[in-house]
Amino acid sequence: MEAENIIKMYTLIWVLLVVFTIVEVMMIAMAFPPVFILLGVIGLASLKAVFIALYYQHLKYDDIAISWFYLMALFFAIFIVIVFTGGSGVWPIQ
Amino acid sequence: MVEKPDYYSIKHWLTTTNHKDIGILYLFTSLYFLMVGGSLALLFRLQLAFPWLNILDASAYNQAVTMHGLIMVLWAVSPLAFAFANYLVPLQIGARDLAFPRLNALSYWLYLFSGLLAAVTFFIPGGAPDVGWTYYAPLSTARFSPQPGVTLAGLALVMLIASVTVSTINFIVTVATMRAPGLGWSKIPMFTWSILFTVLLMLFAFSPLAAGVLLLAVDRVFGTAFYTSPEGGTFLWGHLFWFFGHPEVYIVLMPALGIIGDVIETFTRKPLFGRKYILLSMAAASFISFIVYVHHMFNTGMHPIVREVMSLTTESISVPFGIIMLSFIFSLYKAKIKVTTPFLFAIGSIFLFIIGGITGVFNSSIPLNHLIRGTYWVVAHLHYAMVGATLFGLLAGLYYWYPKMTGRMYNERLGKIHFAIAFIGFNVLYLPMFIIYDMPRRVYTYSVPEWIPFNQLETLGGYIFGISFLLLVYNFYKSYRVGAPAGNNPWGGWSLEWLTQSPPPPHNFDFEPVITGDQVTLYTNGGQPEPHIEHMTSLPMYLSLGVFVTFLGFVISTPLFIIGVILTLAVLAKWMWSDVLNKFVIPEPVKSERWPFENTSKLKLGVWILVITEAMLFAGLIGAYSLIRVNMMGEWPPGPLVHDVRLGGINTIVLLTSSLTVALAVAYSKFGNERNILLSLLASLGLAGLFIGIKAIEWSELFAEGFTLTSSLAASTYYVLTSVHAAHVLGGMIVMLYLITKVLKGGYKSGGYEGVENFGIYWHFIDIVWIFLFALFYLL
Repeated sequence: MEAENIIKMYTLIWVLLVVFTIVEVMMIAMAFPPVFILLGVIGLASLKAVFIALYYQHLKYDDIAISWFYLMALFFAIFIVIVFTGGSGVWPIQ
Repeated sequence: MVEKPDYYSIKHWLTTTNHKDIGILYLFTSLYFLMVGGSLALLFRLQLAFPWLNILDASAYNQAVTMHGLIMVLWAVSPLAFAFANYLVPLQIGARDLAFPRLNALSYWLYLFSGLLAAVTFFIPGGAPDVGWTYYAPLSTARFSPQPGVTLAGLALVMLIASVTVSTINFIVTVATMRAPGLGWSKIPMFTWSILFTVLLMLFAFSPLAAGVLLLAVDRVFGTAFYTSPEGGTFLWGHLFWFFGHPEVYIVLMPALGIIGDVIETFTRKPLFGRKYILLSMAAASFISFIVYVHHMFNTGMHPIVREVMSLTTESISVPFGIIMLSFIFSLYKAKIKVTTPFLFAIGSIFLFIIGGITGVFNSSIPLNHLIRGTYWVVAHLHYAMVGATLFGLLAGLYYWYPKMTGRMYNERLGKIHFAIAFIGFNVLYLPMFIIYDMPRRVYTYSVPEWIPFNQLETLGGYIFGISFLLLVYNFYKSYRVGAPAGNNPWGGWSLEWLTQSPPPPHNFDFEPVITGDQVTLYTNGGQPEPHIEHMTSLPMYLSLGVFVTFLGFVISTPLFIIGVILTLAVLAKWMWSDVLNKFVIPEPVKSERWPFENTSKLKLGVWILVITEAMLFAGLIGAYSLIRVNMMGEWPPGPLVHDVRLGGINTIVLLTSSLTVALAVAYSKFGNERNILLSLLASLGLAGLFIGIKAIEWSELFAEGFTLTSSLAASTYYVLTSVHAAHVLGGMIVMLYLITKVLKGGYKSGGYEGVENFGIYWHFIDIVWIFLFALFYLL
């Protein structure tokens, strides 16, 4: 890719990241329902993370095996959160 | 070219970075810790030989038991495996050294000094930790165990985790990118495979433990209440500890299985039966080991669904291990077996593992677990798995590779006698524990008359087992002096380490190992081997010493702490400066087998592995956040009520912008635009400074409003997580200064700008972490 195009792409990603952040803050200011805010905020944060990983960290262009490492860490992170909170007894007892 | 000191001089051993030397250092150090841990065991076995004996009082007994567990698991058995890993993995894959020799030396020195730091606790007021090797909270908090030894051993654990992390990076990168041409994954010896599984387990297991220890340290030093409040407490520690603790069993065990595989292949003179299925089973067991850990917490009142799921996963892990054991046993069928000492230890290990494994299945049943938890049944089971299977496997390796390491044959007869005595002693020690399964563990005495003969038998077995090691020491010492020359390949082994001299030269091979075809065939090109670079640097040793002094001073003496900090910073500065001047550069291997990382350099893969360990650290911390927040329910104040969301948003944009400027620096580095690289890095540095500045303002405002570190669990969680993140930002700023200096000094002229790109990977990760912290603390 040409130098100019790479810089354009990085700048475009940055604009998106900033816009997503502003949307997150506005969601709080506009007092949406809590579930909507929870899903929206986590969803937007995840989207931002994916953009950074794919383009700024170059996962899109690197060996796929690196992505597998990343996904494995993501799997364990989600597993940890689910089991840690699941163990606390907030799930309905049958 | 660095001048090499004499091999037998102290200077050589303080400065070496050669993987074989480091392996030997690991070997002697781990055997030393094995002796210390073993001596503690003999001491408390003596105490238990008779009821109400007072060789050890309750406190001394608890200290001995705690340190025995910590030392054996963390500083003896696992590092003994890494002695072999250091010595043999590069040889088995046909490499000249590990990927990062200086970091390998750093791993060793951090390990040594961390062990010494743990051992120092015996000599400070209050003595060694007496809280059990599991460090269960809230017992391990300052409220119930105020003695400084608990803090100091915790800091030793932090040092050890750093050592393990560096090792993990080194071994993954080495095996992934430095295999000899033609040495595909299917041809790698079992031992190297087992080390790969081990370091993958370490990669995901140790960082969450670091998160748990960090929270414990904050509790003990700054008075927070992560582990003393009901919202965190014993649940929080149990999760963070056992997410590490259960895979740790397999971290310890895997290398022994790899050794057994190699030993059986060599002495049955044929390939392993079902080799592919053994490897698949090892992979499956490695993965499942992370999703079973709650069986250590069945008695905590954990939600029934979680317990039931973990009971099933725990039972399922016996399937892959069953396949591995059956494959080993089938490999013996119709084989022309050469019965040697390593073979006997390998078979002994399989036998003991089967007992340890089957008795472990009992623990996966929730009702049985309630019955036998905290009894000598568990002690017997875990020792059959971790001493029987593991130590016997490692001893097989010690005898197997002794001729390769020393160039001498040991006395076979003495070796077999050692095996016989050790095997008998071991079973006399642990088998009776299954019979008195109702005797509680971790209690310094007892008064039930029926238990007396069993305990006496166990003590007798313990001493027989311990004394049997004197035979090993005598055999190896005498053989080293007068043993028959071993030759290159005394066993007729097929893996690459047997094709070079015994002991191997510093550069490992006088030829270029090349493997072709389905069979392992070796071609020598007859030309010049790839150059082997010896660093000979004392920086890893001094850096580890600096950390040791810092931690020791932190607990016992402020002046010592200051000296330690100065020493650590000075060594770090010198290390970075030597890198700015490109004093230590090891080129990528010219020809190597590196699928699936064909387009990834060693350094880049190393940075990625580091990022994965960091991701697991934050996974542990965010797991803690989730547990606490769910348990606090309505008492956790919503983020917008506490934090200035707009200011947090602005700071997020500041950090995102720094990611853009770092990405631009990477882009400019690809096109060699030095001026723009500098400008981008300077902008990134400024933005990172601005982020820290805004954070400081936020904190001071929150403090002024009474939202302090100890004002509530929500506040403590916020400050700890954002501090850890800020520490990463500050670390990144130091690396930016290093990169700027290196660019100014022309340090990248010859080697491209890979350092800038690799830094980018780290920096963007820090940005990703903040994106989630901003969401979790400010917006929700």
